Amino acid sequence: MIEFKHVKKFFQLPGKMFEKKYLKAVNDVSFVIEQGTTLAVVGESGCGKTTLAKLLMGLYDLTEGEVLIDGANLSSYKTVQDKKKLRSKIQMIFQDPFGSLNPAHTIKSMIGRSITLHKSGLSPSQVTEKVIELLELVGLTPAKDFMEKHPSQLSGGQRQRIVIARALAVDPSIIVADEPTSMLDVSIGIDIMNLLLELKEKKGLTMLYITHNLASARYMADHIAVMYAGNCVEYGTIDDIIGEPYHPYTVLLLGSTPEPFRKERVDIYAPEELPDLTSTKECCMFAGRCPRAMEKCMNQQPDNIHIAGRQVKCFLYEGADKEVKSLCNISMYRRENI
Amino acid sequence: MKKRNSEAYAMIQKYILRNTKAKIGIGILLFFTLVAVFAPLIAPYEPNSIEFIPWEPPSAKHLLGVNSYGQDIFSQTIYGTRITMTVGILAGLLTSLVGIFVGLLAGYKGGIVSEILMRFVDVLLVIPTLALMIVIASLLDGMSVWNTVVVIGALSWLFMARSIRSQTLSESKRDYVDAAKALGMGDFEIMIREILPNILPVVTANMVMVITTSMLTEASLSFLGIGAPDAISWGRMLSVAFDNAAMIYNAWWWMIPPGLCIGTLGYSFMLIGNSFLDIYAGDRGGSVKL
Repeated sequence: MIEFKHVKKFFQLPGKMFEKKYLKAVNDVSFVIEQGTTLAVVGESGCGKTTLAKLLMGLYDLTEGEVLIDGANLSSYKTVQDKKKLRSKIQMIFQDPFGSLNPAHTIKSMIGRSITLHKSGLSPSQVTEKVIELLELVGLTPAKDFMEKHPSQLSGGQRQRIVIARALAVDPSIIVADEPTSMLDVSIGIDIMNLLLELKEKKGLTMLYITHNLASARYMADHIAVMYAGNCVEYGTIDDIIGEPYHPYTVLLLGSTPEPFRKERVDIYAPEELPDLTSTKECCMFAGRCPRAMEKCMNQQPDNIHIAGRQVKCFLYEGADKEVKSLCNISMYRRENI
Repeated sequence: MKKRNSEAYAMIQKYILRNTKAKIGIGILLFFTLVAVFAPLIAPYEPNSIEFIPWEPPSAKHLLGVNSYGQDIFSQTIYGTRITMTVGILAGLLTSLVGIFVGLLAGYKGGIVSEILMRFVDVLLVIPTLALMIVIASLLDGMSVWNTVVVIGALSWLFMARSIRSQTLSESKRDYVDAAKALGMGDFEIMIREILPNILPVVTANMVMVITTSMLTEASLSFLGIGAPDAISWGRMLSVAFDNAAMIYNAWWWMIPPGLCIGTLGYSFMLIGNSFLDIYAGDRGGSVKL
């Protein structure tokens, strides 16, 4: 189980000597990923999805808050030995299968090294055997044909399978997948998604799945966290949130998805007022684009409001009870209603 | 064991036998190595004996003629291979080792480590290298071949370290480095195993240059009279020829052989370096990014 508790990550920007400016890449994110389930994190580019993934991987240090992995605090993994232990628990699948494989190595040496990094005392033939096993697991058969190849000789989909095999070589219990299909053709992307689902079943993996595509989030995940400008604005089960989105941003996100079977124009209007991630002002980050913005939204940062197993960060739902219906719908974004 | 051998053979076949540049380069290198090893057997005369008639042009008796001291130039050229190759290769390797290490460390670690190392390099770069070499040489008691190697190796890595640092810097931002970190690889392994093979073009270009420059620097030091005094090298031959106005006497046989040898040996290193680039490009689908 993974718990994010009020996680913040600020990057210091270069600036004047005494005036420190920070970029609030992740600002107060809380959610839980249960053992063996998948959480999809959705949001637009630059909303902090990848930063969140890198925080969980321990590639960045937290600015504030804590991350608990099976009850153990992430920041308690300090020494080289501890970090190695953490790596054998969590592995990452990268967005760009062209950049994340080292062009200098063969597939065999790449995956082989991942195996030996965390398991010493294997003979070379045992390692080869395991590499073949992994290649077959990710659907690259006959495995022998791929062993001596370099990444440049493989297609995008095949490379992404190698990336997955390399991550699984460590035998992790948690996988962080950072938009694993966004660089692939749609028909190959669905293959990779199916592979991930299959592996999740087989190995009981817990997964953090990052995407900007709601359809793929629904396909992959049990829970969903919607991010906007570093904030987790809404969190809950996938059916709840796609069925009845509470937060105005989630409504906008869902409403902006064109449906393949309808040619109807998606008539929405949301002024493209991009949030300033460096501002120190306390306010709701979405207020500038929100048709329901109140005065309060401009001067105060909303807290997480828990309603029947889900979580929303919006003043509209203050004091709401279990029976509350969504107070937003896509029609409020229509031009004539603004 | 047998399997190992066949694997090694496959590597040799892939990287050397199928590559013309590598074959020629290694051929030339091998030729000079053999000449250096078997110098006493090949050279017809003692390189330092002064028993012959000075300024004699090439003849059947003296294939490359005689210099102004009455020494056989063919024998000198053959013995000169030993010192020049030893100094060139050892000083070149020493330089490359320091240059690669400093460059990788500064580029990968960044921050304060990079600042300290690069400011140190800046300070050394401001002082003319040859002048600094002379100062260091004067501090050592007497110049032997080994001292020459150390003096050259200690001061020639500066530019190499800079260019390797800048390449490492851009390479460190690539995803595969993050992937290696995520897998739990140590910093040292990431530098050597992950980054180094990807900056190979810069490393080989630098190494070829550094080895050739080392041979020339040895010549300069000899020229200035601070090389090992009893050692015959190609550089020393050129400097002695210059001192004795071989140019005015039209004694081309005194200048061309050592000059041509330095050029050819340098060229062989260049060919070997280029063949590395071919391998590099082959592994990446035929593209070389510099």
